[in-house]
Amino acid sequence: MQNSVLFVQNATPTTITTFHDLLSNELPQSLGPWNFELKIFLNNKFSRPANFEPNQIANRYLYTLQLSYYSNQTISIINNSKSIITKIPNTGTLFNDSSSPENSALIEHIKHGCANNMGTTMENFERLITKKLASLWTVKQTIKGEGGYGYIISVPGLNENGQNEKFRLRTSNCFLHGLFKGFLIEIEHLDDEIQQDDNLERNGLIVKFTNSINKIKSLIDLYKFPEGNLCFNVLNETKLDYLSDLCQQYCDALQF
Amino acid sequence: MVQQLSLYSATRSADVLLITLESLTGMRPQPMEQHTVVLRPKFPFRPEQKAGKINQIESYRIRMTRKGGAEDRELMSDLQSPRWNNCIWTLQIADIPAAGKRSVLVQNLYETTIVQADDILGYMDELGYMPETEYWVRGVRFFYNDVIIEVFRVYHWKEQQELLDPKYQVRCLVNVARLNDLDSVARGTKQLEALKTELSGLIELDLYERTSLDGRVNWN
Repeated sequence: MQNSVLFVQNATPTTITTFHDLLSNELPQSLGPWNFELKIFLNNKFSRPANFEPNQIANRYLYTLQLSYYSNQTISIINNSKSIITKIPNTGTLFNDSSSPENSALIEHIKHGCANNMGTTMENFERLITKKLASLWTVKQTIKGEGGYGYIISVPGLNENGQNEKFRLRTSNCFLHGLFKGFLIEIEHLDDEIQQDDNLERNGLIVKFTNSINKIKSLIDLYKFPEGNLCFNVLNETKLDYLSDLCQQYCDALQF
Repeated sequence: MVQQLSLYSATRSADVLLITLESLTGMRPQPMEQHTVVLRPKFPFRPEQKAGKINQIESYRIRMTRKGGAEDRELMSDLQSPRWNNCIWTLQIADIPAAGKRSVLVQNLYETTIVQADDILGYMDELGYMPETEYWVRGVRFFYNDVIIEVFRVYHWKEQQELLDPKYQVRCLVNVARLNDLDSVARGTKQLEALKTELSGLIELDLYERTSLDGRVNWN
């Protein structure tokens, strides 16, 4: 499972409708609408060591990304190096699926009174930063992805053994403070074999990674995707982490 | 944000209190084991001082809490330890409790729960925070209508976990999710007052010194 994000800066309504037509002709499986929000924060230069002036402090960036298909979660990275994933511990949805190890750990956490922010609240990490960490971070940009739609397509002829390759595609129109900025396509190569083998060594991972990226590139060539900036950087080369890497790619793609 | 209404007390011996709470709530006490690390900003926040410019931005400490028990060793002496990362942490920032004449303490809490991190201290460092101190809380919890009743003792690290205070702390609280939910605030206040009356004679629930619950950092 490897992701990349293609951003088409010079998209026109024709580019977008043509692309949707193209996908529809492949009889895709529909994933329905989705949206996202990316917030970019810059460090507040007045938080500084004693002998520093504000203009001596280097720029650092904090990103928070919310994807509607991972509801309740916020992915955050700082300075393209460290990442965390936060969640609103809404108890209702948790107890519906208390068997998964991740959920049962969170339920234990709540049972011991470690979290108060439960029930009906929709407060996420981004709100905490905006409201309480203004001495450290100030909002620079809010980028919204609206009118998005997701597909899964099956493409023949991309590998040697003649089987179809599956891709998950998500498209979205991007707006910076209400202004249309371009068309985003999130491309994910769905490779069942990778998921079964968690203990791949480093070399194995890199081979799989390169293989997936090549598949994505041939898909782009085959269907003549609109031209744009393809981002497939990862946060940490020694340890691929799906969500953090995806966040990194959004940040790389949406630089205005 | 959570609006937390609370009342406090402390007692030398908790035996009678625990039995009373069991029969009052009709439930077995639920175990409560927490491990908390307090973080403070790495650098002071010194905004421009200009005439006519009012600065209302505050710096806050962050409390980072996870489930942790008596077998835990000190975490702050080993910042590289994998134990930092393979658990769920809740970050909390607390406003100073509301001023004015009130029958219960009202405090705004801002929280977020981290479910996954490769290097949480690395992230907190980039965020601008460093660990300052850590403590453990162990005790039990009861639920009575909307009220959560906590009876616990606090431990800190001195070559091993040691009691900070032999007394049992009693904290009764009601969490209200929305700021404008005045009905829930009124109901929570009533329930806390009723509990106070119910337990009076055994323990005296009261407000806590407001400034000692202040989460802000003073740079002067």
